[in-house]
Amino acid sequence: MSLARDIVDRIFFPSRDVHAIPVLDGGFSPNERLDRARQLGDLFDSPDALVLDDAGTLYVSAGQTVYACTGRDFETRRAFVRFEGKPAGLAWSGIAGLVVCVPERGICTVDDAGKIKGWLEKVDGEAIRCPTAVAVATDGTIFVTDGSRHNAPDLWLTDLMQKRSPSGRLIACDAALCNAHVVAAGLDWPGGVAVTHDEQSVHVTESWSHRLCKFERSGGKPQVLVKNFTGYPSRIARGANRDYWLAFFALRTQLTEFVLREHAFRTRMMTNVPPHLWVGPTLGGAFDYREPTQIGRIKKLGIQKPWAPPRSYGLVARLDAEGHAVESFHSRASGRLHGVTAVADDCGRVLVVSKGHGKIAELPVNDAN
Amino acid sequence: MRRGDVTANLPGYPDNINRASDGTYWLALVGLRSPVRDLAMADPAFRTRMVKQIPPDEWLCPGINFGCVIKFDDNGKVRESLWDPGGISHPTITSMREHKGYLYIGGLENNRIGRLRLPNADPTWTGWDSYWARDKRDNGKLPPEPVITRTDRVVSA
Repeated sequence: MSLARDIVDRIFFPSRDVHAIPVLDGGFSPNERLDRARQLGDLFDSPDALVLDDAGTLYVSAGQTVYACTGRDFETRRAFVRFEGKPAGLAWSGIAGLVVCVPERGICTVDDAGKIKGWLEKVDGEAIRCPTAVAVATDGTIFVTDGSRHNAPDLWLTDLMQKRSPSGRLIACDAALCNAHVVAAGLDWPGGVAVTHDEQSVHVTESWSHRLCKFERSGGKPQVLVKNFTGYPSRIARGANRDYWLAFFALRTQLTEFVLREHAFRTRMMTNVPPHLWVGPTLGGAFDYREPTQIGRIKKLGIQKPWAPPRSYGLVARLDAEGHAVESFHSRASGRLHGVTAVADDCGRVLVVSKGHGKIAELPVNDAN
Repeated sequence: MRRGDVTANLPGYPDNINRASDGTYWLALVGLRSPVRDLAMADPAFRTRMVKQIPPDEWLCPGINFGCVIKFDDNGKVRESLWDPGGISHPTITSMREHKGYLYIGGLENNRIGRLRLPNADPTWTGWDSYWARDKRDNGKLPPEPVITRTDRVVSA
């Protein structure tokens, strides 16, 4: 049916945006720079986000704990605060301290001693079930993205496959977690948020609609900066040169997009098959012989082709103020740093989290491509 | 001749089959089944749309980046299985042959042949003796040993 619909669409709506997957080109041209990133310290158990405070301490959320890491390569680690859920997005505020997203609960601020100061659990009477990322403006205003009304952050793949109408929100509150209000609603799994360099607006990534939007701080209609990424955009962070770092946790593939168009098959797959074996993006690092495979992934003469259709991928891009990719760092199908969920810029030293491979690493920013 | 299932519902896609020295059989599984691919195999219309709408490199296929050889007997009972789970040395195994106490492994997409020592196998057993029934044909008398040169090119599995 969907093929007939495609043909009908092309005849009756010739100028409609087809939303096909763009090729990796220009600033997104493939390379192996992310594979050359230097691993910092030991492995983490599924690290998710990271942020630096004013004193240069690195906070990493991994499992149920937020770790405080110090030292030249952040190799000295101590458990800073522990939660019942798995903390996700992190942000640092000079006024409020560390801000942590906790699934099925909301966001909280944590003081220097690792004690929780306060919670924001509801806005407009509706719980913040799926806080994915958080950003803080210079005046202390906190911006949170709530991914979906239906699923917790761990169930991101389920949320993608359910294809419900977008229910994500962008929420703002002050440094004391009061006066919370919804800036924008109906977002398609907003996975990252950053306050722009001029502090006038907010960049929000929407993973399932593969786009980057710019909202005025007061809300209103967004300006779509990039409408069709090749990957699923995740967290976004401000860079040191008035630029932005954007992490993509996986790439779209033609097979995934096809299965997303196949309603009956997708429903059967979701009913009968465990989620880690579905057709769809993964963060990498895991291995199961029952995974779906694509023909292009066949090992030829003992080699995994780097250009094979990627089930997991590593991609970090540097964007200019208009959202154009200036440069990018790739770990391709054969690489070992997949599923990058967060980036932080430490005065020109750029740190990334590979959730798939459980590492934090430093990007080779000044290499000659 | 009547056809009957020897082994039904294998976990993978069977490729070459060959005799083993102990009266059983070796079988190469070229790819493994996955639950999603099984669903796709049960839905021809879905597969038709898949091959029409997306390029061949993107099609669903069996789990081909694994090495697996199984051994089964006349009753279809699987006696043992040999694995290369990550497909590191021998992915996509399409054939195997037992010869004088070793199992030789080959794959259509590979640049290598594997050799695996079989500790409990008959070290004098060869496939051609077994297939051409040497013991019945010339009273089990053995011809001179064939000279195999360049054994240094054989990589042990």
